[in-house]
Amino acid sequence: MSSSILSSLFRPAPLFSLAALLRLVLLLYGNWQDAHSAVKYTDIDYLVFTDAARYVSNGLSPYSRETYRYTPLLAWMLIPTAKPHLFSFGKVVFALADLLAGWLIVRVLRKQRGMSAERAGAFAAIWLWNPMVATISTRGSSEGLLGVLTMALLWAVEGKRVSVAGFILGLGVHFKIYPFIYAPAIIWWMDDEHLGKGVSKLPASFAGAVIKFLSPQRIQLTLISLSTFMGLNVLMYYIYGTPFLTHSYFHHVTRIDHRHNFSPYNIFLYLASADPSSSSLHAFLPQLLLSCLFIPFVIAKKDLATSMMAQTFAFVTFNKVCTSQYFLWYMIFLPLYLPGSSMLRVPRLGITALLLWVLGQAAWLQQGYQLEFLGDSTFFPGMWLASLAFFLINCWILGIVISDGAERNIQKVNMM
Amino acid sequence: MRERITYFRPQDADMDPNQLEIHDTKVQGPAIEALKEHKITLTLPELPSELAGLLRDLEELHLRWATPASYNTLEPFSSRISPGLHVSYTPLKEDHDPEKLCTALQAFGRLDCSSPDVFINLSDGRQPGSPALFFYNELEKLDGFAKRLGPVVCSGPAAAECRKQLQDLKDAVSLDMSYDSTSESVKIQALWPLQKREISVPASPKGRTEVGILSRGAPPGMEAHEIGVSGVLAVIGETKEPSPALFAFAARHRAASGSFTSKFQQPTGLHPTLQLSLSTAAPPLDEDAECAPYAYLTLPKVIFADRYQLADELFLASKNLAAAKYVSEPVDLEAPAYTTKEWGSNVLLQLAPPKGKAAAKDWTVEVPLHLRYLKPSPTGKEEAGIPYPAVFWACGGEEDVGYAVSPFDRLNLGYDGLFSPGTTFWHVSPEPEAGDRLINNISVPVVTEGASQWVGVGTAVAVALGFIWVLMKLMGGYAKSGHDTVAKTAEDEGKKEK
Repeated sequence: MSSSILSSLFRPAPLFSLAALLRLVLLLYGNWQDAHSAVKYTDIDYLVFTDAARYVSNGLSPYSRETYRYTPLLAWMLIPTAKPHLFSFGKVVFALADLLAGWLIVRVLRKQRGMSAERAGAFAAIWLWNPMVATISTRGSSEGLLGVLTMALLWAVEGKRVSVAGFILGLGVHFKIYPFIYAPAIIWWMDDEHLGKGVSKLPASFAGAVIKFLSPQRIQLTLISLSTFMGLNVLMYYIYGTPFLTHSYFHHVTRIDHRHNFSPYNIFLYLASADPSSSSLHAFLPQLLLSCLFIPFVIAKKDLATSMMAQTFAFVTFNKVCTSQYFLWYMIFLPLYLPGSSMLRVPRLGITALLLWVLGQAAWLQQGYQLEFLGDSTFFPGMWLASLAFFLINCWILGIVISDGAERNIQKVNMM
Repeated sequence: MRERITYFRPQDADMDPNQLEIHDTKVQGPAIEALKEHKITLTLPELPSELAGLLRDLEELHLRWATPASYNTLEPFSSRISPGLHVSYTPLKEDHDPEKLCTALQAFGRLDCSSPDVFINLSDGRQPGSPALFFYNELEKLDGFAKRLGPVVCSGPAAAECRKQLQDLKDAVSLDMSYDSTSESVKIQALWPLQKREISVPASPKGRTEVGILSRGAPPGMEAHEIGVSGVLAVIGETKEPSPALFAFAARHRAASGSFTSKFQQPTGLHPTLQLSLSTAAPPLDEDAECAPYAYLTLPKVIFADRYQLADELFLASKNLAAAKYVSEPVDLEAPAYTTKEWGSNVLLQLAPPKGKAAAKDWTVEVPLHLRYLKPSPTGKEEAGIPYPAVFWACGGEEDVGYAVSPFDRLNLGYDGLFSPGTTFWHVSPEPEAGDRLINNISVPVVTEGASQWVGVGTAVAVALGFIWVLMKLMGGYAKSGHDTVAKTAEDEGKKEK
């Protein structure tokens, strides 16, 4: 009885209504808190976006706002927020992006995995009803936009819409750089079988293999995504000049990430930044090897969604900076990875993974609290060990996702 | 060269002018309770040639120093700045290299000013004619300055007397040096605090020396906004008898009633709150005058205010702040101190005093600030001293009040350029939080130096372990089912049939 009520909630209408209601309530509550309390609900980043949007609406560069490190597209999109009574416009856009991402999840699960509406809805609810996701977007953080972009990318690729996929990929990389890790996975995935051209014979020679690999669709995706990415960059550079390149791109390579965050490299980078002779660029190596090469090579053809999830997970885990907003980048793929995964098949494994993931963060946050608010020097060993422990927990979870992905056969999942 | 030495006494003090002995080479008098101001005006040719050469590249230069020690003063010497050395200047040419200036400034002690980026640009939002560039450095005492300056400026038969006078700077609480290219003159003003001191003024070896023994007075016809002064004046070598003086002038800087203390709320964490406690919220003038209280902060780079955080009205109101009227630029909101080139930043905050009945009581303002990361230290802590802010009521006045006519006027204190020229500053007297220093100490958590030997290896090992673990999982997956869907499906089905 109760399970049938619950499963009826996963039908599209209640699923999306509840998700929208959750966001509406948070949005209104947030506005109330902002108006009545000195402690703000709205994220500081949202003030950065809206300040930048105000500059843009006055014909100025969004980079006139310190710490605006995003594409001008974001500021353009939020131009309505320059009007005081439309201040929440951006939050509404981010919340709608959440819902759109959820709709794409349902669509991929139903059309491309053949799932029932209720079952697809139940998995989509992991994203749509997730309080963390809803809070982040209603506080005005733009990560939800990345969710919709990456899910749209997966939907376009699996639906064999090559041009659309290329455009979204180029746009996504322009927006936040990291989606470039999906390019090798998608290219690798786009073989004849996945594109529905039937299995052809193996080419006899190496040259033949190369020629076969350079299929028109792969070239089309590459060209469209590259020209979208470069086209947007040239346009923004033309309008805003060097500050666009400095703040949107170079900053992420050259930044000294000394302020404490979840990254295993954090304390190391703090120490290194105080010593001008050191360089820490080699930290990119394990991150890029895993997320751009090894993981897509082994998993992409078997299960593109799980590959993208594992790649993102590896990218965030091995990144030089890691904050909880980045967790959203891989959480969007959970509804696609979880069906048939060992975390659901063996609930003990799934619950252990979730608990350890939460505990790892809690241990770190406790150290962070002591540093940030009490002024105790917890950098070493407390916070350092907590960040390494969280890193190793994440590696263990990543191992599970990879094993699942490597053994997965999409067709079998379809039958479930 | 002209010198003027003023002894300024509290109002109720009395002295018989006959006690003053005026000789041809000096003025001598009994010990009296007074503060002392020594003002010297020099022309460029009277300066050592190197110094004159340095100044010729500048349009104006202003050095302002205040002691970190608490001291008592009297109107009209009531102006206050944050303790430390404040340097502002405008070069004649835009591509001016501050290196020569910085080398000269080393006379004060080791100052970190060699890079042009250390100076911040003041051009925004200030009165025209304000200096262009600004630099601040903490400076505890003038002892070193007096010692180093001796051989440079003291020469000839009066060298010994000159060095002795320089030594007096040890006890000074404030020192101003100003140069501007229009008058081509250098004005030096030093102030000694209110205490019992003997009147003793030697004649200047090269010029006129004027001595005044003054206190507050009320000349007839004095206007409400003016300060009246009475006493005796004498010019060494010119007058045999002290001549009585009674005059009034409009003063830019006044003393407000009450006092304030500044302290950091505990625990400080990485986002400390500076708490300013004022003893009264009563404005210095009656209701009709447009007066508002302000705090002008001088923040070394270890600490900063976030201009964006200080933009929200509700947030400001909860801290008893009205507005952040000025925050110097640039202020990087993320960079650690060791990569921040600017010396630090200035902030002008308008305070929001309680109204009505509560106005007579003491009140508190909270200034939210943020710490930058500092270099590793052996203990995991680094101590920093943040100078007291200047707290004052600013009352709007007529555009041209003629403050400059005042013989004791003081300009270019940093905050004055942010107000209209007619503004009167009513200074609230700073009281030390503890002891006698107008410095707020704060302990900044940093990573311990000893961590580096563990963190480098430990992080590498952990990352390697994680990387290898993930790689093993990938290889395991690859060994089982390759990289292709087709192969996997076939193999899987084969397995199932067994």
